[in-house]
Amino acid sequence: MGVGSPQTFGIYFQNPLESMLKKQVVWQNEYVMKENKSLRAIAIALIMLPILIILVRIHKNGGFTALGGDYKYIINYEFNFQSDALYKITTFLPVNNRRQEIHLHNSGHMSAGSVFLDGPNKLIQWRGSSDDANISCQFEFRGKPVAYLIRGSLTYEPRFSGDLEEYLSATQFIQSDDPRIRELATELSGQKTRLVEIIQAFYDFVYQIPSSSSSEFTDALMALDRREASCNGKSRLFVSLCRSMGIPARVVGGLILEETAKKTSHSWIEILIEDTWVPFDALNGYFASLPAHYLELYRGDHFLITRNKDLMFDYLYVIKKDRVYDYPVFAVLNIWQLMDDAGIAHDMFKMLLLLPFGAFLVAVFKNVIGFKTYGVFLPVLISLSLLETGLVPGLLLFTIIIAVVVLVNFPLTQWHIQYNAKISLMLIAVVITALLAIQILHTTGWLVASAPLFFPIIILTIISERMARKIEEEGTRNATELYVTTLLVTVLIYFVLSSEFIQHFVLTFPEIILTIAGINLLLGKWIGLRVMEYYRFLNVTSS
Amino acid sequence: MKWIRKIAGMQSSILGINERNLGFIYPNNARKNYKYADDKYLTKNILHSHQIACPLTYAMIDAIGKIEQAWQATCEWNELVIKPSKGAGGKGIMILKKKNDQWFSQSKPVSEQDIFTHIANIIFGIYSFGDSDVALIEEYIRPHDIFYQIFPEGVPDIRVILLKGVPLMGMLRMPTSRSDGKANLHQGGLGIGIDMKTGRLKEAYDGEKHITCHPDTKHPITGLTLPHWDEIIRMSLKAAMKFPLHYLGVDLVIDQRKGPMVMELNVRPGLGIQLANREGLKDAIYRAKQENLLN
Repeated sequence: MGVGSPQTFGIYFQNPLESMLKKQVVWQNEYVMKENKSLRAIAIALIMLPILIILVRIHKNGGFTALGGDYKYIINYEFNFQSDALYKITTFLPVNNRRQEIHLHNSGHMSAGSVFLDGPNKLIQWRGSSDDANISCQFEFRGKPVAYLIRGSLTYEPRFSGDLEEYLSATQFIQSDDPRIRELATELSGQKTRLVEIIQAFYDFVYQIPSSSSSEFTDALMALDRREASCNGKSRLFVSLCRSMGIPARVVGGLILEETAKKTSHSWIEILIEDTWVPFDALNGYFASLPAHYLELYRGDHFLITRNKDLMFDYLYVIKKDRVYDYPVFAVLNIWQLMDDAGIAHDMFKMLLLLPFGAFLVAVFKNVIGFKTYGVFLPVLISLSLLETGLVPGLLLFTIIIAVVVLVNFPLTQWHIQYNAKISLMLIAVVITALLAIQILHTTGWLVASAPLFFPIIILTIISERMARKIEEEGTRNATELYVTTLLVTVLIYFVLSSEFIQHFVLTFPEIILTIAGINLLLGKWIGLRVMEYYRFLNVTSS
Repeated sequence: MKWIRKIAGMQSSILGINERNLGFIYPNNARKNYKYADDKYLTKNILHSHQIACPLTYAMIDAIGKIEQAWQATCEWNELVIKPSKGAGGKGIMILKKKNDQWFSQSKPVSEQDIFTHIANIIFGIYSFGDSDVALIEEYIRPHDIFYQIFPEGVPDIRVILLKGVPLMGMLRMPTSRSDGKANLHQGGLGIGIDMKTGRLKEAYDGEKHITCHPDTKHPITGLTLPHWDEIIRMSLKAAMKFPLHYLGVDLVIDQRKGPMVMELNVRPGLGIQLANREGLKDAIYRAKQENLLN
């Protein structure tokens, strides 16, 4: 079979327009080629330039570390005292560990104190004679949250190693050899053979002891007797339970950091599991984990400040919270700083920067994979609004409202209601449904229905209109199929955009959207078959 | 290995949407010229001026206020078609037949009020992406007997895709009971490949598989030869020459009495034609180049 013989297509070849047409075609092809060359250069420049800037920024800012507008805290010890004679004040200074990073500020007052090490701890001591003095000492803290997974297969075995003596023996306040503690520990551990179960049982027991508001001194037995304990009582009881069963444990002390000035310190515990000291806070409910804002000051059962008794003494921990600007050197646009300086909501920048990222993903889903969706923007806008409502409530709300529109569409079409009036009627139905939904959510308290819902509702009316039109044009089945694929793409994009890493990345390195622009330029010139077209046209070449 | 070969084969012969748009539509059709195909009223004016046969226009209505007057003027006809000038994919088309002073649309009685609402919807732009539109009232095409024998409902049409004035591929679109009188592939119609040299019908594609008979009437399709085939090709070529669109689909119908007529033009002809013909458009282009029809 041939495309045709000159006989059949005689008209074409006799036509005087032929040569003119050919010229035009040739010219067009050349034009397209030239355009492609410069376009490719621009696209590659757009892709590479931001990546280079980002690499330089990472290099100039001391390597790739945490992302995402972390907070740092400036902690100031402020001690005031009156003394008739000599004074001696000793307290702890934090040290770096896998959870925290400390920078000491070398102020004048600080150098007056002498710093020395005692086992794992670093101390600072001020001595002298003065009537009236104040001492301050300042340092900076950056913390990371930690969470450990304890292997369930780990069986319980009491440890008696000499190296661990310190963490296994009873002390004055951690009375792990007391019969009552031993009895309780035996009772709680019961027939349990796995280490994690025993620790969990101890943790649960200590956790359910009502916490006292004061932070007065409580030892392990007092905590057990009073059935009420502060953090230090709970910690000592927890440690004593562990030690009585031969599980190495120790008290850890420090501060919970928040923007405030306070006197209260905090203590939690660490249990040695295999070779790792794993943190537990049975007061605030952290099992084998700690949040980022826990400042560790000392290990072991100590007092944070020791001083001679005859001192008139007052103290305060003044804590300031500051944002850590990530990669500030060579930052073309420091969004984190801009947010703080201009007082602009974090969400606004987040949405702004995620929008092109999401639109790019939709383009990939459509042009490379071959999904069909209601427009390019709708899936992005819906997934951004899902970030506000949460995935399940948002999808539920969308589906209900789309269903309402579909139901309303039937009688309106039957009655031949003119199009503009019909759209208006549908919007009224959407608003009523949304109001009802907000009312229900409010009364049941399932979801705080407020400002965040407003944004999705506007988008809902848009998608409803598109859906109604699609139903009119291609029937309910096609429209529903399109809705389902739109939702599928939306959910996939939602999972990408809800990633904290990606959110922080675009906020820290906003220049990345130029890279996306470059990739989009190339994508816009990509002529390959879409993944779904391979399936669609499978039959063409099968014979 | 077999799969890799299969994928490579598909890449070299099948035209996908991305390549159709970037490689054929954009370079061959200037955006400003799309209107000559998208707006049927414009298309028909140009077809008329070059004596290319197309269905007669009884009336063109561009304002709500003119509906009634225009309608009165067309009442002498017993069969007519109302369509949006800028509609796509056969949307918004209403076929009306009069029996005993009562209008019927697909054998359902419709009142004048229903007809006016439909015309008003067209003018409001419901079928043309929100742009205001004009409604066309046209001559009803009585399909050629050969089609009537295969399936007696709806209007089958023939799509010819031309690149720079070379007919690449053709397809006959037949309605089925599933497609509700419409001939579009994605609405359940049949796509039937055509041998370009002879006008002989190949197998029919129903959206899932290839068949040789009409699914409703079991009337054989494969092997039939389309009447007026030379005329159809000649008209497609003429249309392709007279419009500044160098990659386009020409849709034609064959009227029982008047023979082939150009119904409309399409600057974004669908790719399903490859399924109907069991051949990739890129293969067809390659062959046209080999025969020195294309450069």
